[in-house]
Amino acid sequence: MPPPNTPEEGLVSTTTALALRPLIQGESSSAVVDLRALEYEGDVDENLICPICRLPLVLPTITNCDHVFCQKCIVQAHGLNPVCPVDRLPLKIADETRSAPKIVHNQLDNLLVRCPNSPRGCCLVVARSLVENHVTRYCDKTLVPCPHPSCDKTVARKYSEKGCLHYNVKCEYCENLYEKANLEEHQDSWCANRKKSCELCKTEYVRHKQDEHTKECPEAETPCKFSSLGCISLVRRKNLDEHARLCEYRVVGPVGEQLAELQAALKALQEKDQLKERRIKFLENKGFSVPAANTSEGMTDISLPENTPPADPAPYESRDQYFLSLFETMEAKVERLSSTLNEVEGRHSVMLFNETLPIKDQLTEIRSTLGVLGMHVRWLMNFRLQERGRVGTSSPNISGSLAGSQDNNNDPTLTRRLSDNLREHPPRL
Amino acid sequence: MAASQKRITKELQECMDLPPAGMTISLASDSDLSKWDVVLAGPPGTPYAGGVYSITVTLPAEYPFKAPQVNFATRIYHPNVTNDSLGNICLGLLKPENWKPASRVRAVLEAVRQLLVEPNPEDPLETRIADEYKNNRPEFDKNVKSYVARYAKASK
Repeated sequence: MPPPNTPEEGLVSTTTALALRPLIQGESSSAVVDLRALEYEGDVDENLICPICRLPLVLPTITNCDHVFCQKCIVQAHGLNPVCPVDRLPLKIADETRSAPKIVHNQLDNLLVRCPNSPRGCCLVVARSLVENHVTRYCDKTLVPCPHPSCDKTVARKYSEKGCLHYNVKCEYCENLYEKANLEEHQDSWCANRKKSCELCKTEYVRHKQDEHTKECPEAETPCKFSSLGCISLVRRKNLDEHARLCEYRVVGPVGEQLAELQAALKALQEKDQLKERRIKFLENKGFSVPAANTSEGMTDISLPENTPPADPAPYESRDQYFLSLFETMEAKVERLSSTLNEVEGRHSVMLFNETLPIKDQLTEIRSTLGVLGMHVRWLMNFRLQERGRVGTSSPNISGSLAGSQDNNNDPTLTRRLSDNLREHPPRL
Repeated sequence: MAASQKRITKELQECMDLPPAGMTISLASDSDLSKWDVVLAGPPGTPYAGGVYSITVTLPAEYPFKAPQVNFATRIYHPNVTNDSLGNICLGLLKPENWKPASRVRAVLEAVRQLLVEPNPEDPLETRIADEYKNNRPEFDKNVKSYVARYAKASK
């Protein structure tokens, strides 16, 4: 039984991850994967090799004298000697270097590398730009912290769902103790007794993978490929082809294949038919059951299948199917409701928006009018106060009563007005 | 430092697969990448022809940012190589102000060989030998050959 995260799955996911990648990685390349430690597949063009580290460029940086280096390398070299490491022209790292053209980045991104987990058995070869994504998200062989909270060891992602595997077990072939997490690897490649010679074909195979060997052992006896048509002979696998040529049933072979195809088609059709029939019956039944269901809701609905048979003979093959169809209609209903809900919600928000917009406009208008009014009042008040100051000192009384009449029950404004008064007076006195 | 290790491994591989003319290259010890042993046959057509020189190349920890150190382990009569057991070489390429991280050991070794073909008496370590090279070539050739006979004969 394959683990949930089979390599094939990983492969598929990395291709879908292609679209995600620019968002995830950006410029800050590889905190997890050291691009310099990667093993490159095939020869890399000499022009893509950094002259300093002699590795394919990482974050290529170009100087004003047109030489390209890894960003890290040029920074390091510049720290020791502030000249271009190729032609020794003076170089200012801040002004005279910049990121290499996009085409160089693209070429580097497309270089094929092996997954850094290859020593642990991942044999994926992938574009360099995708390797980090593969390792951090999909590679089965990446070491992740042990899921057990009190265990601080790491374990391959493949096993991480099986709980803590850091306990010792005895290898069944060599009697030594190994951690459960390492057992498979041990039995695959280290155990002294891991190899076994096949009794039939005499080739050596890894014990641990006996099942796989049995499936392909050339000496094992397997049924003829026409066994479904009636050939009963058992033949060694390596002789299968020969037998197929001579098998009496080979004449009917093509017919048999067609037969099998037809059978499969028939089965599919039958299933379809069944489904349709069920639907039809359900629809028929629904028409009948609606008035009954109206009287009291859920309970009658559920007991329907037992009640209805006299009127509608065998509406469903089983209760399960009845519930299934019930469920389907409910689902459809819910779907319809949610779409209506969405529609209503949309309409409401549009309405709300339409309503609030003029209100907002009016509000700002009112606010500005208020400001203008306030200005007017202030100007008038000032004007009055000045006038009164010119008339004489009896004015405070009048202004007091005026202020009082203006804001009867608003003390703060009153005091403000009075203080305004005071402020107004001293120069006059 | 992993990157520099990788570069050294790569350079060593290249040098071993396709050694520069007249040289064989090996590691002084298998565990240490920073010490190389080079055996150089004296270039034909020069007084050094017939001599077999062993050269040690020491790569500093900062390599390739610092120049490798190259010494003649075999004594040699040459204006640009100290005439003692240290065998220091005066090579423009290796001077700290001239060293470029982009240069490779292979280029250094080729330059050393070139130095035997064409000594550089203008920038000598041994002024006496340089003068002799400039002014009394037959005497120089004779001395070179006697050094070859004394120190640089291939071990049979």
